[in-house]
Amino acid sequence: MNAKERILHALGRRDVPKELPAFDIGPMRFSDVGAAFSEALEAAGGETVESRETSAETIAGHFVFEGRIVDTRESVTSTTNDRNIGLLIVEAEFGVAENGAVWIDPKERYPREVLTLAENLAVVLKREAIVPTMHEAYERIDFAEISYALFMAGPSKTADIEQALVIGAHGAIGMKVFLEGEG
Amino acid sequence: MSGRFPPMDHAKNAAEFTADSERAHWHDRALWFVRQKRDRAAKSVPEWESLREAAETIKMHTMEHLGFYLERFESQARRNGIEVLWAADAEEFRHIVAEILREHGAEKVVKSKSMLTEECGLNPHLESLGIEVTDTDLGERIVQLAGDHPSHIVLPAIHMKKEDVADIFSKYLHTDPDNADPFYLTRAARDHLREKFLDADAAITGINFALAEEGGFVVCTNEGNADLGTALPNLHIACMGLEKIIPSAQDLGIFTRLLARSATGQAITTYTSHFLKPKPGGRLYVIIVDNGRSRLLNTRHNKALSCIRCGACMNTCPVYRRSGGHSYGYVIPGPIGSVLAGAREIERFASLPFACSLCASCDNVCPVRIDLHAQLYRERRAAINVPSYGEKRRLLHLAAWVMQRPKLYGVLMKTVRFVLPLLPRALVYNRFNVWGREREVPEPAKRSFSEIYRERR
Amino acid sequence: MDETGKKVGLFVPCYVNDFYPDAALSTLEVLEAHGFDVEYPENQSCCGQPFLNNGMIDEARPLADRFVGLFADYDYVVAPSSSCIGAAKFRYDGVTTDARYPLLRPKLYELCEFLHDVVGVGNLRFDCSFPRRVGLHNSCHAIRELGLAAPSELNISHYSKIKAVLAKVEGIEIVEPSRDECCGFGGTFSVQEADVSAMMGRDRIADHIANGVDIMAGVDMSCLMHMEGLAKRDGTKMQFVHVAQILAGRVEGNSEIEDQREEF
Ligand code: SF4
Repeated sequence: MNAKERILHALGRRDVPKELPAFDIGPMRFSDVGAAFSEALEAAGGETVESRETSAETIAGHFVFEGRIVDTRESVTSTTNDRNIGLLIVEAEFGVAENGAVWIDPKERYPREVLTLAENLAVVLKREAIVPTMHEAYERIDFAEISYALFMAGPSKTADIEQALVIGAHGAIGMKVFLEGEG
Repeated sequence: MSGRFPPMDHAKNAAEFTADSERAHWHDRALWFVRQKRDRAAKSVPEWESLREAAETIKMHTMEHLGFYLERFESQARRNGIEVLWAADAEEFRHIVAEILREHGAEKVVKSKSMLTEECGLNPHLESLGIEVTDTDLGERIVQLAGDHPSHIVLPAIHMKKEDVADIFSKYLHTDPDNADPFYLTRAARDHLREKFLDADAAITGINFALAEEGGFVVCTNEGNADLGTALPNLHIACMGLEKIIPSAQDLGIFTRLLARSATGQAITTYTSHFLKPKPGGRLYVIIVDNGRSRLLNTRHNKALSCIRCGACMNTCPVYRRSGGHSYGYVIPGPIGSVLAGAREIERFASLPFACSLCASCDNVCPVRIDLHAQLYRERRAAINVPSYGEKRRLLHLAAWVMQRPKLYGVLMKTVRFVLPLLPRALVYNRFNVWGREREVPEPAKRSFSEIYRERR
Repeated sequence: MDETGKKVGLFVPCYVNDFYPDAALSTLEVLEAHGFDVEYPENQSCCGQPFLNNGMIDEARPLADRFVGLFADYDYVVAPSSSCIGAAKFRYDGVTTDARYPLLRPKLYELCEFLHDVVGVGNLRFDCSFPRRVGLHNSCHAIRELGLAAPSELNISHYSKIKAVLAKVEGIEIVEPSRDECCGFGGTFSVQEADVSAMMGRDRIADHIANGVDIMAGVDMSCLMHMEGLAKRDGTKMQFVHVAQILAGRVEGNSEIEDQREEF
């Protein structure tokens, strides 16, 4: 027997399961998902910017950075090993009010690594695309279409030295979400 | 397996840790602070306790059908272009990883946090083959450079003070040895590790949740090291203990809401990354590791396999906070570590089920509701029969013999009550009186309650 | 339903009998004052907890059997100890051979639990006042095993049966420490892990001192015995009493004289 067979044999438990019952979680609700989202994002070290206008220029005005701007809403040429992205602009498909996370799916339109190589990250999000909790969030995702995608809540961070929070571990040091649409 | 290592003595290790009272108190406070953050996060979610119940149910269900879900995962992952490999034990696992790296000519590896690779001794093995492995989680990098081991599964370097880190970094990263500012040190690590990322031939990551239905997996970090590490090189090897499987992505709503809140009190980890297909032009492997887990599944400790490695039971454990992670002598410390270590090798880890005051706080914080303290309580039946507990067993046996004879016990205690106050202090506080090492012995009453009761009638 | 006149079996933990008889006597008095016919069956012994907690089932069995045998016929069984009641209630399964155990189980109560759940807070009468600031020791068996109060880990609404009962004593001020953490007694844990145990106990004491407390009360004399031993060794000024002793008016500083002194 190979390893797989040995393991499966040891496990048994190969019968087709009955479906799990639906859970009656009764997830929390917010009177204002936008406000809840902003508050949660702030707690995660990020920031929301109300913005009718989201041109690269306007967005760049909200950051202090060196290096170049990569706007993934336009076509991106290969940037592997690019050490010089000062600001990356991406679109998020939706946000989550309870934790300030945004769902970013590069869809292979831009390489994965720019998301973490960039010093600053600007995320453009439609205000009406904010769901209350992760339950509604996962209902929106079609996993058949995904190669790699992530929820991101604020800039990268660590507290590994004496529990002191430091913003900017390996990924973005600054992260702002630009809320588009009527407030 | 038994007999390979001498039995470890938690109490002895703990005594060394508590001897430095200031440091032990600092450790206690740092982790209690995390526990408080966890409390606030948990209490900000009204449906928290229902989430825990749901998570428990899903995990128990998955364990009941583990074989099914693992096979389902394998076939779905293959459809996504992921290569799935199986390893029965640590040795097979190390061998598989080394083979994949060799095939791809990979010599420099960046690794994000994975307790499984610690458990299986992957780093030393790869290093012995001339492969450079860089742990990229900051805490893990600190302990790696220090030649040490993680003392906590979420906060690997929690046993170290910032001055210790400054010292290590000054040696390896040439930072200012007198600057122990966490911001300064973290930035230095960022620059140092950025070079490692850009240079790497392969990335190794752990897996937080593997999705049977979708054939993909989720990795959670705050630092972004798994994302950066896997995005650059063309080779990604993801390693999972076979208990990491969950039925489908719909269950992630429950688990992602619980994990970070339980671990650090954050509402969600900064990066919650979903890997479904290899990156364009790249290769993605998933290695499913057993290494004793299937055996555990068929014991009374099966529930321990539900663990999602949040570390909350460590943060809340009054013993762990005061004895430090290394006192457990096992790759996973704290309550869950004691359960797993004991289930694996009771002869060696017999002191761990007793490194617990049975306060049951761990049961209450565990996001998947593992009955940790009850597991440790039950594990004591095996632990007490380990030869090193012979003397304790004999003493307790004698005590039970007396207790079964209430009249004799009454006479004995009456004598004790009479004699104890007459004895010279040096005799009472002799070296066998462990109680009296730190505490005074209670004052015996002149008359026992049974005597008072009899007279009162 | 009128519960007065019902027969209550009093269980007294072995160490309480010899070292803290006043806690047992107080329990007896409080129960009698509320109209119960209380009996202390002779020949009782240890509940078996030390053996159960060390995985020694064979040694615990005769003690569990004795417990069930002595108490099976009472309407209620009450003890001034949450850990002994916890052991009898949750740890006897598969240990005792006595078939009456399942019927006995729901009749087992820790004192405050009994006063709260069976007598009812509204019916409690304590003929004493206790105008002191009392630090409440929330023992683990009480809050996490018997559920006498909401432990801080759970997201459930706050309650404390112990506090509710104790608050019926006139003039008392109850303060709780910043952590509802284990004191480190844990039975044989206190000697097996002596150093961690001592550190835990000292930390609890320090927590109470920070609250300006010089008397600590709890429902488990064993935890208090451990902390009392530490406090005495360290020369810390702290008094340790069982909750029952306050309820029965058997603690000094509880007299009318003290009351008047407060007023003057
Ligand atoms: S046992 Fe529970 S609390 Fe402990 S690490 Fe695992 S999931 Fe977290």
